Amino acid sequence: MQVCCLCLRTQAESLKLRNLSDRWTPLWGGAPKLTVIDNNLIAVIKDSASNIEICKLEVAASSDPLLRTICFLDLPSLTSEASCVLSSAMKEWVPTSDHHARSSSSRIHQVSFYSSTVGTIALLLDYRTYSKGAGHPFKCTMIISVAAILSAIRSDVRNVPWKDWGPSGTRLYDTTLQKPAGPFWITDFSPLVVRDYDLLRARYTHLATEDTPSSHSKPPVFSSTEVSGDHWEAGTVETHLPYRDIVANDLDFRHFPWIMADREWIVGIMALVSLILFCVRFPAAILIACARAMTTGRGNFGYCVSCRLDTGHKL
Amino acid sequence: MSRYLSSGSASQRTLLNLSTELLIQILSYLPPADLFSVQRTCHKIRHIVVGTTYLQYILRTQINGVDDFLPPDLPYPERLKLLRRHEKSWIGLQFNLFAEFTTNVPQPDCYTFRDGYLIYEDLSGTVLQYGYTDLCSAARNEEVPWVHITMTNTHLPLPSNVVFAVDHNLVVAVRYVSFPIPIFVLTSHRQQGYDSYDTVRLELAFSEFTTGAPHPLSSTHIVLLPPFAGFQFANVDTEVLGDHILISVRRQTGEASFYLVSWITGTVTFVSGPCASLLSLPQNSGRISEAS
Repeated sequence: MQVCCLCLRTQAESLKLRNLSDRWTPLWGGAPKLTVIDNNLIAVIKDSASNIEICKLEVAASSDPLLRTICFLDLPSLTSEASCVLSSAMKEWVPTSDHHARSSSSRIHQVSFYSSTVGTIALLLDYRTYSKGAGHPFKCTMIISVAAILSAIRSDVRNVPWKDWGPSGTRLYDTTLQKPAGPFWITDFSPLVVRDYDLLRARYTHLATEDTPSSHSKPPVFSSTEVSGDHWEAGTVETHLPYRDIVANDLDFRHFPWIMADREWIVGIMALVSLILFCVRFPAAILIACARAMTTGRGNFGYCVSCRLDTGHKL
Repeated sequence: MSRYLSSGSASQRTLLNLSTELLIQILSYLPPADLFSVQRTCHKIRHIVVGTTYLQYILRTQINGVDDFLPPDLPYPERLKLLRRHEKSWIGLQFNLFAEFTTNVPQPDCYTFRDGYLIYEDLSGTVLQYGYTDLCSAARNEEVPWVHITMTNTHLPLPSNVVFAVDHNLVVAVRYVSFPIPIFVLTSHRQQGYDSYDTVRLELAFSEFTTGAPHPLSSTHIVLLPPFAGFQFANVDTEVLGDHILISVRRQTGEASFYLVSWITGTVTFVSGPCASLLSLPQNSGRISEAS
C-alpha cells in the first residue's frame, strides 16, 4: 500500500508550531472560543473546558505573529465520568477600530461614552455525567471578572489553581439567565434587574446612594453562591465575586423574549402575534403603529421597542 | 525632579515636596485601583486627587471602562460633568422609550446589537441576507428605517459564521468550500494518472457593512485558509482585533488551529496548532492503489 503525500508550503517558512494541551473533546463540541479581554490578551476556552488558556497575541511588522500562552487558569476539577462543553462565551462588545470615534461622528445621535474595555465575561457551561450510560445535562453560567484574570496572571506560574483565583474572581449560577447590557448583566426582566460585578465602580459611582423614582439599588452582595453537582470532584463549587443589583421600578420586559442592551440602549423584540395575544404595558400608539405595519402587506413578523439612556445631553 | 530633591535637606526630600503639577502628572500614571487607594495615604494627596478635574476624569473613565466621543476641545470640567450624568443615569436606570418599529424577519433570534445598530442575518434562503437599522440615526418616535442587504457575491454553501465589525464598517463571512486536490497515482497495472481528493477549506469574504459591497480597504476580498486532509467539517470561532481577525478552527479530531488574517492585506498567517502545511492521505483510502 502506498501513501501519497502532497506537501503544501505556506509563505511563512517559520511556522510557530505549538502543541495545545488538548484533552479528550466531545464530538458535539465547537471551536475554541476566543475572547479578547485586555488589549492583546486573549482568553481561549476549549471544549472539555478544564481551564482557561490566557494567550498574548504579538503582532509585529518585522516578524510573524505569535500566539503565546502566558498561563492556564484552572476551572473546577471534574470527575472521570464527567465532561464539560462550552456552549457559548458572552461579553460586552467593544470596538477595536482606531477610527471608531471619527466614524461615529457622522451619526445624528452621538453617544458621549462607549465601552473601551471588557469588565466581565460569561461562560455558558454544559456539564454531563455518564454514571449510568446516559449523559445527565447540567447547565450553568459562570461570570468571570476580567480584573481577577489579570490579577491571577503571573509570569512564574504556568497553571493557576482554581482555589487561587476562581472563588473570589467568579460567580457561578445553576441558571443560564444572564444577558449582557453594556458592562452590566440583566438577570431579570420583570421588573428589569441589572447586576454590576464591579464593586470598585459601584463604590465610586454610587456614593450618592439615594434611590430615584425610576429605580432602587440593593445592598452589595458579598456572600458566597454554592452550586452542587456530582460532575465536580469537590461536589460543590463555591464562588463569591461581589455584585450589586439595580432594580428598575418602571421597566418591564417580560413580554420580550429577546433583549439586547449596551451602554446607551435597551432593545426588546417580540413576535407580532405575541403582541396581540398578550397585554403589554405601553401606550396605545404602539398598537396603532403595529396595526399600520400589518396592513402594509409586507409580512411583518416582529415588533421592536428601543429605549435610550436619558443623559439629558445632546452633542 | 533632581532639582527639587536636592534643594532641601535630606529629611525634607519627600514626594510631597514636589510641586502640585508634578504630583498630578505622577498620579495620572497610576492604575485606577491605585489612584483610588492613594487618596487614603494623606490629606494632601487626597486633596489633589479629589480637586483635580483631570485626575477625576481619568479615574472615572478607567473605573467605568469607557472612552469618549467628545470634541477634543471640550474642557475637562464639562467632560466630568457629562460622565457623572452618564453614571447617574445608569445608577437610576433612567431609560426613555425612544422608538417602536416592526421588522419582517421571521426569526428574531438571529439579531445582533452593535454600537446602536440592530442587525439581523437571514441564512434561510440561497444567499446571505442581512439588514440593519441605525438607532443613532433615527428620529425619536418615528418609523425606524431598515436597510436590507443581499450578498450577491455569496452562494451555496452559505456562510457558517458571519461577524459584524461595525466599528470597521466590516462584515466577515466565513464558509466552507470544497475543492479537489489532484493526486498523482500509480496503479497496479503501471498506469499513471491523476485522481482527486476532495478537501475543505475555509473561505473568508470581507464586505462593507453599510452596503454589502466588497470592503474598500480590503485589497483581497476573498481569502482562503490552508486546507486540511480528510477535513470534513470544522467548527470556527472568530474575533476581530483591529486590522486582523483571529480564527480558531477545531478539526474533527478535536485539535485546534489558530490563524491570523489581515482583512486589509489578505495575508493569512498560521500562528498556532497542529501542522497546517502537510496534506496526507489515509492508507485505507479507496482512491489509492498498490504499486505493482
